Amino acid sequence: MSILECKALTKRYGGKTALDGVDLAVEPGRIVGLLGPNGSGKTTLIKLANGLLTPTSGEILIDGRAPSPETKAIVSYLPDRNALPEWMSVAQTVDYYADFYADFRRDAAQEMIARLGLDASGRVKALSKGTREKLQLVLVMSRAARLYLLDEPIGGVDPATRDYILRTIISNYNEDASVVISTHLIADVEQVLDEVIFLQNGRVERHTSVDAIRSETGKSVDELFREVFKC
Amino acid sequence: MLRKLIKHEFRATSRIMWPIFAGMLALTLVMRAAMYMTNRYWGGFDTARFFSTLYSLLFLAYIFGLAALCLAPLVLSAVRFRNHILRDEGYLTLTLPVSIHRLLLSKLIVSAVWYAAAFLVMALTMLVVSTTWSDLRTFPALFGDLFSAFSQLEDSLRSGAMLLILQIFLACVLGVIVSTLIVYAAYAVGYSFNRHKSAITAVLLLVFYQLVQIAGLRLTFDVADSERFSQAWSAHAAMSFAHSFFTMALVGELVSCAIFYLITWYFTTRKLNLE
Repeated sequence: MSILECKALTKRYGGKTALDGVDLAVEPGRIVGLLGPNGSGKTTLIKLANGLLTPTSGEILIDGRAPSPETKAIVSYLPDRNALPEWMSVAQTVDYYADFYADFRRDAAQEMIARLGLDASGRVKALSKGTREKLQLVLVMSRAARLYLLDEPIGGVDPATRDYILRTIISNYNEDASVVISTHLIADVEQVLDEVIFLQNGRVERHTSVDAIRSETGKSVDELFREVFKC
Repeated sequence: MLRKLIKHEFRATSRIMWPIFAGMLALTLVMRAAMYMTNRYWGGFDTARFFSTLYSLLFLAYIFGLAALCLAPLVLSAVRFRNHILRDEGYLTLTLPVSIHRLLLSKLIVSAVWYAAAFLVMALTMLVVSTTWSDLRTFPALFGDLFSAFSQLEDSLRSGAMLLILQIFLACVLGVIVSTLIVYAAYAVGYSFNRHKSAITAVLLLVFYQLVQIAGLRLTFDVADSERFSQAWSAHAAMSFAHSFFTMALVGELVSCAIFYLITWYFTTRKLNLE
């Protein structure tokens, strides 16, 4: 069974269509790049999978079920902004995740936090933007989830932080799980992807494996992306 | 999960409420000390005037403090709802493996507890302000007399007094919940818009409160106009009126709770508009 499945999924905001009849399936154990220019519907799709939005029509299924508290227990979500409460200390954010997620690996989180050199008693508010993003990623990747939905994990950070983020994702995700990474910074994530989904104007332009792109077109994902989304 | 939600809700709100309580108690003690100094002619005229002025200022601060104490649980509950659900934190809160019902329930429970705590702190500060050590010594006898008077009233009204106290207590609890849900509903609807979220929320707050007040007044007039109240006055007639009034008030509050809860639930699930 697919871990993430969309069937004729449509989402409209007033008169604007963000997703238009999307059909796709993500199988377990795959790292998938959800790629597309700004406004192509990547974040909307991820929000729908997390139950933060309701489809206008069609359906989205996580492990065969519509988004609900049960599916949220198996999905680890990294939003495209800092969602950690600023008043909490680093240790309290760990407690928060440990309290609510049965699959949270406290030891792994504490080890990564120690490696980042963060003071557990320090407040989130006192951390720099980049460090907050790292902390949030550490908490998300410390879960042994079945599906990781990472919305723009490397957007707006310096190259060194990008490397750290990608390393953290690759070395910490549960290997039976799927990882969906939404981004438009293709070159940075290309080496870790198994397959890609190109989204354009709310439609799936292409859903294929990275190997197929290389063998069939002789191009990298980044080159193909530039070609498909040429302005 | 409800227990964990309540735990974290207390963790988030107690960092605001405890300092408010501590500040109010400290202010009361300082005011009491100033009152003590004012009542004694220590030093010269200037010293007496200094303590008198200080006491006046502290008394003013105390009155504002009481008002702040009354409003603090509601304001905190509103701000917490907005930040925890409708702003960036919502991306974390609303992806926890808990239902929105449990989330709202945890918030309502914690809010009600803070109202009760604020009431107790207010009562304590008033006690400190208005009593002396000699007054305190009479308290056991005073409570004994009150209990004895209540027992006699209870006997003569055939359990009516106890029922009335229970009704008043429930009306207060539901009143607190209705107030909190009105704020939640206004925020939930206001933040479903793309622009002018705060302004729309403020307007909705006024509209919702006005609607509830109009409904409450209508209810009061309806009960007052009822045949039972037009009878000749007696203790039993007054008690009967009070029972009818509070029964209707409880029903009205329950209906209001249901309406504003449904509005909040609908807009935080179906019309959620996180930026």
